[in-house]
Amino acid sequence: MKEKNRLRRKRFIFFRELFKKKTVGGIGLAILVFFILVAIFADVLAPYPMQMGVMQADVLHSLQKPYIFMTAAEKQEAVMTATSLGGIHLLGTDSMGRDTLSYIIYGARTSVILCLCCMVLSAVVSVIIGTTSATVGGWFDLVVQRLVDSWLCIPSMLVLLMLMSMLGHGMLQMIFALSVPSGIAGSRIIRSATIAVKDSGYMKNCTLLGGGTWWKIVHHIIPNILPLIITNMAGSLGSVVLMEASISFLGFGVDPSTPSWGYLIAQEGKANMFIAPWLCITPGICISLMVFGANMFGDALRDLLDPRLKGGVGTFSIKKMKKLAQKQLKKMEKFRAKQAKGKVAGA
Amino acid sequence: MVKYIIKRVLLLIPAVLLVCITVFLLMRLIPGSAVDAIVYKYSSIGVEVDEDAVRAQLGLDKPAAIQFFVWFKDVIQGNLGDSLFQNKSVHSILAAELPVTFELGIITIILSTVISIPLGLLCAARQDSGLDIILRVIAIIFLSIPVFWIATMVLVYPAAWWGYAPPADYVGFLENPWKNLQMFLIPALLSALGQVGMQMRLVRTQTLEVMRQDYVRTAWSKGLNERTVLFGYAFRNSMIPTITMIGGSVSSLIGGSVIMENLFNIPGIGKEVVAALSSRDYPLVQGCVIIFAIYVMVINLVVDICYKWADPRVSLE
Amino acid sequence: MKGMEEKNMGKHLKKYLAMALSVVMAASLAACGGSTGGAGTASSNASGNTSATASGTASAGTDSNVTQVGSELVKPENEGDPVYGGELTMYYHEFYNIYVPEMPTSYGYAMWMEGLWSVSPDFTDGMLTQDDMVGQIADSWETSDDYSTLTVKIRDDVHFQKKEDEEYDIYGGRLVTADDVKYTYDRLLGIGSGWDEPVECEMNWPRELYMVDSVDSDGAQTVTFHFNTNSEVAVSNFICTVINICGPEWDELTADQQADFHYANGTGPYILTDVNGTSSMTYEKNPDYYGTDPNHPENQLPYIDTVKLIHIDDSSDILAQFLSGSLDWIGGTSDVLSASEKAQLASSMEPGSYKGYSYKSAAPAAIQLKCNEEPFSDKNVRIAMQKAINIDEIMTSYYKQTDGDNQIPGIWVVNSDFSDVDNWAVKLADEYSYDPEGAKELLKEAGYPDGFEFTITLAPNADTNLYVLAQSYLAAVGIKMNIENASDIMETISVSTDPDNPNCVSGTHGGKNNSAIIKMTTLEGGANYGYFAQDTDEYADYAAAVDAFDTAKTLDDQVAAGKEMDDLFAEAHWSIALAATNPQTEYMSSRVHGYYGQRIVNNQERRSLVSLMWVDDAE
Repeated sequence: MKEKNRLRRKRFIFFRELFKKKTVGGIGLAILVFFILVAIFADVLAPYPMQMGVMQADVLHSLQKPYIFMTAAEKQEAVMTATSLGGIHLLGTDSMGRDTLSYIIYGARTSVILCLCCMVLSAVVSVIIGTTSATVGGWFDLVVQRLVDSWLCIPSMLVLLMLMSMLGHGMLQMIFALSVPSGIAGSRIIRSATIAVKDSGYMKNCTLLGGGTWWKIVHHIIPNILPLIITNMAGSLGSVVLMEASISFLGFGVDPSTPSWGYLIAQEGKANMFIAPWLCITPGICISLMVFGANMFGDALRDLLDPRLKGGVGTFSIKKMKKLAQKQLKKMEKFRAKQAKGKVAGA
Repeated sequence: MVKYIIKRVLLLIPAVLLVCITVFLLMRLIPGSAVDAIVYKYSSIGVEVDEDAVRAQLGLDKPAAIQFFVWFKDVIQGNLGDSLFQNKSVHSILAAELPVTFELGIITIILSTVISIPLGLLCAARQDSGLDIILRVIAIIFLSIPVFWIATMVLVYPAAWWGYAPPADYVGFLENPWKNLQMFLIPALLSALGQVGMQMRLVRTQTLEVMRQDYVRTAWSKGLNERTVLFGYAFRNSMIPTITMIGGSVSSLIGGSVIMENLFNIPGIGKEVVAALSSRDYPLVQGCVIIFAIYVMVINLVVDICYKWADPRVSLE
Repeated sequence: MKGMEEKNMGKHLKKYLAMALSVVMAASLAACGGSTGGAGTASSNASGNTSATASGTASAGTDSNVTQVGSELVKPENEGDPVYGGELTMYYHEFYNIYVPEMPTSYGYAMWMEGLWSVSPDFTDGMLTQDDMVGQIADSWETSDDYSTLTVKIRDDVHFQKKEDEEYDIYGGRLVTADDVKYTYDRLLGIGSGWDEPVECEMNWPRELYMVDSVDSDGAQTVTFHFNTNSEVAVSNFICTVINICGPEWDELTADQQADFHYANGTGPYILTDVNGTSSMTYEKNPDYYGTDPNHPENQLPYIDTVKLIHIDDSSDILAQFLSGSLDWIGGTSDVLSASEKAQLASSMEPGSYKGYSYKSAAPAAIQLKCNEEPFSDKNVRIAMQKAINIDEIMTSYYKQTDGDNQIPGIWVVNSDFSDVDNWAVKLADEYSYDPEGAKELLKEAGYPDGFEFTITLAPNADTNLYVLAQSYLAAVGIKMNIENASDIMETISVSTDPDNPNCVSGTHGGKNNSAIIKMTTLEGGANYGYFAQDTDEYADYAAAVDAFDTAKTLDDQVAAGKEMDDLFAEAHWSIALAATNPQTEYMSSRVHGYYGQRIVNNQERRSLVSLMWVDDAE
């Protein structure tokens, strides 16, 4: 019970710290939570929900202007011409007459699912590679590390493109292609942290008491490097969103019937930039917002969980420094004056 | 120093071997596709070819290990094979395209460095001022914006409003420097954006870190003026992690250049690799990836040497 | 009643929630209003409501700046007098880096190569026969009554190109003789001039030129072809196959030299001077070209000094280049710009600064069904699927085709190569027009009251949006269509030919444009191509029509068989049409003259067209 309370308090302190000291990080978390909620309640929130897993197209209302930007007369006309499939589209429609707002909402679902899956999977991959490599050691470590090094030399974008073109398009393939390479890349940090833990006294004790490799990894190493794992996971969120969008933009992404922000920009936004700028601008803003949230939250988390990596918290101001320098100078002058009067010994 | 460079260059060889193994394994995940591609290519123009013959011709009928050694022997000799769909050797295609990608990368790095370091220093010097906050917000925005999004808008809107689009036809730098730069500047600037955001933040934090050090305090107390302290003491030391970061980001810059080359029609390897992937031109894809990997390795080497220049404390042995 | 109210309540609630959401997004939209304000105004003019005929091809017929070209060419009166000089930049869809004379005819950028005949610039769409060919190197020709020999008299003023650099000047600008023509055909077929095997190349020329027995030359200007067939169709096919003429000097080059563009040589109006990988090709005028302008016989061709072919992958870059004036021509085998990009082009270019040419006949997009598989083996299912798709709506709202002229008064059109499009379509229009209720009935009859689920693999060049639309239409009658993207065209082919793969593929509607493949995979090889329910009577009729097409002796018979093929194909619903026609548009900058909307992308006829064009700002 006491333990539970302590944990709860710890958590409370964490969030208080996050919102107090790292306001931007707090905002980042809020944005992420917002998108996660949107993703969960997409079917409820979307004004034109999916039917049979398909976004409803209504080609009669293709490329309709956002309702919120319409003039009064246009609004009236939109209401008049509305059919059973709808006619009022708050953020307009694309060239197939799909509601942009609904598409964006379902796109959030795609992005959130990708983010969460990739985060977990890449953490699993990196922990498995990093910890085994460090604890087994010897030639195994050497071989694995050289392979990881060579893997890191291949630009991640290329690996992603290659994997996607070989595995085919789709959500599962995307998750695999995004998380495995980043997991391999992340394993290096995990490995060095594991080595630091491995060399500590209690690990030697554990070895003396007969703890096996597996036992050590599960009961000692992972709990000890957990903050690092979490920081790593949070840090990779933003790049997952950006990568997904870029890959979809290049045409190697998810299937066309899966709503995706990057795909909306590539397929609809790019083609309708003048006559329907909302198709390009809204998904772009969503991607930017989500990446922003993820980055800021990741930074804040890193600072809070791992003070060793802290950077740029110290304050410094030129005014202060100049004051300090003047003080020093004055002191010096005083000292010299004293010296001149012969009051200081040893002159 | 020379000894160190020689040692590092020699160490590149096993690294290249490992990259080759990795690429080879990646490309063999789905065997037979290259064969299908060739059979289709010929059948579409009316030539019937035997699948087994194609397989034998590509050396795909042998065990994987033998295939690898045959292929690797060729790679070592600089022979990356022939492109399946272009009537050229992979080597000659890449030789023509590498300078283009390299130029884009260099201009991107120069631009991002030239923009981010002064701004980062400025932020550090005027910490918590309005300017600092504005610049930091801009940096964060740069970091979060998907570059292809901005690039598409930059490409199309000016064309419609002012009738300007960067040239779509590549001209060598030596042939016509101005036209060449016209083509490269906008994409390079765009792919530098994210880089600027990252570097600016890093330069700022690192400079602040250094500013808190005792020797900087000493410099202040000596009565040195701001410029000397900033540039003579803080700058050089804060550059060390910045150089490391620039080196580390080359790999991700290539991702950006793939998008930029495709969008702005720059005939570099990034454009080639996307085309090769969609037509399943396996030898060409392999060649592109290996060249990119070597490119990253070489840049890493250069960065390490710069590191030594910036920080004499670093031991090269 | 109460339930209804609750439903409405739910709907309202949803709307409010959505409103709250969108306010957040709108706020951010407004925040970047500075950078996008201009675009906003553009949109309010162009697309305020969809019923306005503001965009693209919709206004093609009414706007003065767009010349409507259907199946007939319109020659503007005031083109002015041709001028020499200047530069022309054209988009080209693909470069192959191949410079040998035996290149396949599909490699259409050979502006430096010429054959005996070329496709007439006036050829629009339809079946290519010998009547559509005009003499290029051939001056006059004569067929014997039994179609067994063809005597060709070649021009006496045709020279190979003279290259400035002596190293690459293999012909030295010499005259082309009948011996060269004989040499060219002999080396492709391996039947003389020192060739006992066909020259090794990508193309199966002996199969293409199956009718040729031997070639004779008198050493001066007369060549005689002897055929082993007595068929008009064979002679027509022979004339329509463009073969680039070369001389024995070419085979003295090494393989590496033949792969080097500097050595590329022929008799054409343009000399290849620069190749930049797969992105651009530059041609300079051939000053010794023999051709003259048919409209101005005193003018030696070509007019334009430099022609540049550029390949751009990204369609928004193509659009940007055209808008900025760096690109003079957009067009291609398939539409380069999407329907919306065309609308954008129309909305953001000044009237009169460009000319657009639209074509109504192209293969309409379709879902190709695996008719050997359940449930498509039932014809009712296929009819139901066709009835579920509202082609009229797609044409008016998606393709923005509002004028009746461009829209075929029916539900679909097969490739117009043979079909008497209008009559044919009217015949079937009422029977298979949009009728979701009827479709549901048919599905119920066929034993699928709750619909079914299937997957379609899209080829990379397919218009994804159309299939997403179809997905929505089919969902309305209970059919769930999953869409998968193929990584390359190869994958589509393998999906469609693999009997174990139940996926359908994207493709085009119509029989003729597939006839070669159909024959190859269903009739001769017997492979499961998946289109046809092979054990039905319709299939037997179709097979007979294909056979009649292939064995026809006269052109009239062949056209009749082709028409029957198309009719049977469409009536049997072996594929589901998604559009009446895919409207295709080519765009030309208004500084270019002498172009009247001919399809300059087809095969190798481009050189003859480009040589007839001139540009405004020539000095």
